Amino acid sequence: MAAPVKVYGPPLSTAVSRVLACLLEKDVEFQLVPVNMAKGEHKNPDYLKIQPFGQVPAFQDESITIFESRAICRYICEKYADRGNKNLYSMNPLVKASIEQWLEAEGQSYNPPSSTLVFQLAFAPRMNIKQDEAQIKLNDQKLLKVLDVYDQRLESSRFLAGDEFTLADLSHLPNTHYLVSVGNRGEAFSSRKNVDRWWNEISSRDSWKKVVEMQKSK
Amino acid sequence: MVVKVYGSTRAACPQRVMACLLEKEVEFEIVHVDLDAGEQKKPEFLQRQPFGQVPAVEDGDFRLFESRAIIRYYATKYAGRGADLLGATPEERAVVDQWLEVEAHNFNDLAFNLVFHLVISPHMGLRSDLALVHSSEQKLEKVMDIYEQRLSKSKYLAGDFFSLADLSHLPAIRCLTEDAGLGHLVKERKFVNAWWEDISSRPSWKKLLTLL
Repeated sequence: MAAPVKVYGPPLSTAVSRVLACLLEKDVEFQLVPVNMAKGEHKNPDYLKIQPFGQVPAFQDESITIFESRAICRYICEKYADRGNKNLYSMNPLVKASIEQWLEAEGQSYNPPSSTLVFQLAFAPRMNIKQDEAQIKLNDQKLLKVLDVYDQRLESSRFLAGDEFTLADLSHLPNTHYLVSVGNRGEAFSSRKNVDRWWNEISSRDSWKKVVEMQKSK
Repeated sequence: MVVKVYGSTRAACPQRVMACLLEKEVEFEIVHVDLDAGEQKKPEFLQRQPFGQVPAVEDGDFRLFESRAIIRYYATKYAGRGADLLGATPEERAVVDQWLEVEAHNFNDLAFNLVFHLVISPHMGLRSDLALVHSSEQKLEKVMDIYEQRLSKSKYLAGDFFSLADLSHLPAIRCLTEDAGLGHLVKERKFVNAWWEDISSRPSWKKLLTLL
């Protein structure tokens, strides 16, 4: 039996929680290695050896050390294909293509405005950093436009890539959780019928509930 | 069956797709989308790509958008043809993915800011945000330092083979060095420079440049 895989970083980090959600969906045992970002541990020479950009998360198993949360998720799904949720990252080329399309849409269109808003609304206040009202306004507008596209897509599709919950949906969990809870942006999601249905469904998954618990306890 | 690539040969993201198709020896046809006239935001195009962006592909009944999803699809479909752009094992593929994600999240936004404000805005008669140009350039210098460190130990980003991770950088670096006057980002770094010379000399990239 292989040792648990290692994930470096705090569960509060959106990118770290993306990987944790994936590991839980795939039933892969993991060990969380703390990285104290308030103390700048992520910029220490030792950490930079595993993540040269000084970001979290990083991931290690017996074969490899890698970084970038979406790359880690893809690796977990491929390496542990026979475990847990097998639909997360389908082997079928056409299904996989749709997953990749919406995972890239998350990374390129959803992540920029949502992560800016998460920082401004959820983290800046905690860090005693003054909020940038112009950035909030601009990114609120961008986010709403993206949610309109999602609402249209989810009219004819239960999940983003198709009938099954996949990495494409999972990738949205971390930022959206902060937006609707601490960020006070719930209405943007609940006012769009299909987005509302989709968010309620994906955020009720056991794996995500466990991640939220982990975030509360750290 | 010829793959249709919707976009402009002059735009970076369609170029990413075309570079991959050329590497994989997949025949394609470019269906021009007039970006200057805002064709990508018109209802007809939005049916094809709901975010109003290029590229999108049509391959028989199959449709796909997002350039990095498209290149992953074709690199997988034609894994046995042309250069292997993906990696032979899950571990090799993970490192390719890692550096492709680095390109998408650590490199692309900064490169885009520079290209938009130094090349596209002037072309469209818009005012450039020079403060953003300055800060983006400084941040990109730091990113390129990390690339320099990586490439001092590895011939290509993901290892000893040319992969999607390297390919994904071709359009933006061409634009930064040739159109935006930022060649120093590459030339001042020994290993980045050698890497750029190598990847931009590939026959498929040279072929693409003839299409511009």
